[in-house]
Amino acid sequence: MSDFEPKIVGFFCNWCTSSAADLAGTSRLQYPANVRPIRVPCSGTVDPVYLLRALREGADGVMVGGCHPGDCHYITGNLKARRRVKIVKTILESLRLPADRVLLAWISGSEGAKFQRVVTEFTNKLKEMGPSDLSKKWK
Amino acid sequence: MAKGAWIKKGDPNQSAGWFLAELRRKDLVKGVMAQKEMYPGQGAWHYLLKEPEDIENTKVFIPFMGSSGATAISKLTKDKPLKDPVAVVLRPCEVRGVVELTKYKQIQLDNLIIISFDCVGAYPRRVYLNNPVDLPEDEDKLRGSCRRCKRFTPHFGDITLTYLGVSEGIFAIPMTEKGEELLKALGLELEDVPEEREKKLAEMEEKRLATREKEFKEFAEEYGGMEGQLKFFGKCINCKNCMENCPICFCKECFFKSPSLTWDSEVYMDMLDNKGAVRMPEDPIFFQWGRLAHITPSCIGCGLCTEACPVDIKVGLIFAYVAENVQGAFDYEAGRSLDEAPILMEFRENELEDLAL
Ligand code: SF4
Ligand code: SF4
Ligand code: SF4
Ligand code: FES
Repeated sequence: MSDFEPKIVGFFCNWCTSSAADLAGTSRLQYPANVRPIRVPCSGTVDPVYLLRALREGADGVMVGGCHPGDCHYITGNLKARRRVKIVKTILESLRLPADRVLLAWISGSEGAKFQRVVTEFTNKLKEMGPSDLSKKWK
Repeated sequence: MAKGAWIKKGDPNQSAGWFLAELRRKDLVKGVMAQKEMYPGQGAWHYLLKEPEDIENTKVFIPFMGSSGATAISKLTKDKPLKDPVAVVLRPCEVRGVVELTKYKQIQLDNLIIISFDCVGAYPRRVYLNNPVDLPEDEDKLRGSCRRCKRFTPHFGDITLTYLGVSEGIFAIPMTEKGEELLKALGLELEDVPEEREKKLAEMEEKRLATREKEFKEFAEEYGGMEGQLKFFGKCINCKNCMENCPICFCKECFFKSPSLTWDSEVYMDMLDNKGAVRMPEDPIFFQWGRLAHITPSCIGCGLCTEACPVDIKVGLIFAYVAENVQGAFDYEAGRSLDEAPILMEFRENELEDLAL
C-alpha cells in the first residue's frame, strides 16, 4: 500500500515541541504533512483518554512531544506524560493491539532537525504498518 | 508464631457476630459496620449499626458482595475524620480499596478499626439469590474475581478473623497493637494460631494463582486484537453501571459524563460525512479503554464491575488482567501498602528512560 498516508495526531507542548515544529517550518526543513498538531500547555496535560480517543476515531498514530526531563516548565509534567504513555502502551500490549502506534519524544524548542527526523521516521513506520484497525466499528 | 484468640460462639458468622456485638456491649466502639441482610435471602448489605442485638446477627462471611465497603467508608470519613472509634468489617479486596482511597485522600483512617478475614469469596449475585447460603461452600461457583483472587487474606487492618483450618467457631488474629488491645479488653486470651490455617491458605493460593494465569491467558487469546475487543464489548449497553459500582472510580466530575463527549448536531453530521458510521449514542470501546487507562493503575480486582453489568460482560476480568500488567510495569500493587504512592501520584526522573525518543 504505497500511497497510504497515515494520519498522526500530535500533542505538542507549547514550550518546546510546538516551537520545534515552527522552527522546522521556518528553517525549511521538509517533514511529512501527516501530523495534525495540537498545541497543549505542557505534555503533562495530555490525559491517556486523548490518545485512546484519537486512535479510536481514526488516527493511525498518536504522538506526544514534550520538553526533555529536567526542562518542563511545570517541573514534572513530562514525567507524568511518560508514565501515562507507558500506561497506554501497556494497555494496548495487553489487549494485543499495536502499542507502537503511540510515540513519545522529547523535542526542545531548538531541535527543529530532531522534530523533522522523528516525524519522518514515525510516518514511515506507520506506512509500513498500514492503516490502523483500532477505529473499527463492527465486524 | 502468630497469636490469636478463639471465639467459639456457634458457627463462624455467629461467632463473628458475637465478637462484634461484644465490642459494642463493652462500649469499645461507637458503632459497627458489617454486612447484614435486610431481608433473609435477598443479599447482605453494609449497615452501620449501634445496637448489639442488631450487630449479633450480621453475616461477616456471607458469600454475597453487592457493593464496596471502601466506598461506604469514603462516605463516612471523606469530609471529617471520625471522632469516635467505629469497627468496620471488610473483605480483603475492600481493605485494599480503603488503602487506595486513603492515598487519594478519599478516606481518613482516624478511629477506624478495620476488621477483615480470610476470604473464601462470594458467589455471583444470581447464583446467591437462587440459593442463599451463609458460607461459601462450592469454590467452583464463586465469582471469577474470587476464583482468581491472589490476595484473599488481609495485609492491612487491625484484626483478621478466620475459620479456615479452625475446628470450631473462629479465630481472631490481631495485626496491630490496637487490635490486640481490643481482644484483651474482651477478656480473650492469645494463643498460637492453628497450623491448619497456613496450610489451607497455601492450598487456596496455589489453586487461585493457577486459575488466574489460565483465565488471563484465555482472555488475551479470545478477546485480544480489535476483533476480540469488538466481540468482548459488543453487547455493552453504555449504562456505566460498571463505573458507578467501582470503588476506585471516585471522581465527582467524570470525563465520561462531561460535556467533552457531547456534541452539537452539526458535529454528528460532520462525523457522519467523514466516517460513514457513528456508534450512537456513544462508543463503548472508547469508554472502556479510557476507563482502563484511568482505573487499572489502582484496580483492586474486587469484581464489582462484573456484578453490576446487566449484560454479563466480564468487566472485572479485563480490568484485573490489564491492571496486573499496568501495575507490574511500575512495580506497584494496588492496596498493598499505604507507603507506596499510586502510579500517577509519583514521578521519577530516572525511570522508563527508553520510552521516549
Ligand atoms: S475478590 Fe478476593 S477478597 Fe474480594 S471477595 Fe473475592 S476472594 Fe474475597
Ligand atoms: S475496575 Fe472492577 S475490579 Fe477493578 S476496582 Fe473497579 S470494580 Fe473492582
Ligand atoms: S455495566 Fe456492562 S453494559 Fe453497562 S457500561 Fe459497563 S460493560 Fe457496558
Ligand atoms: S512544559 Fe513542556 S513538557 Fe511540561
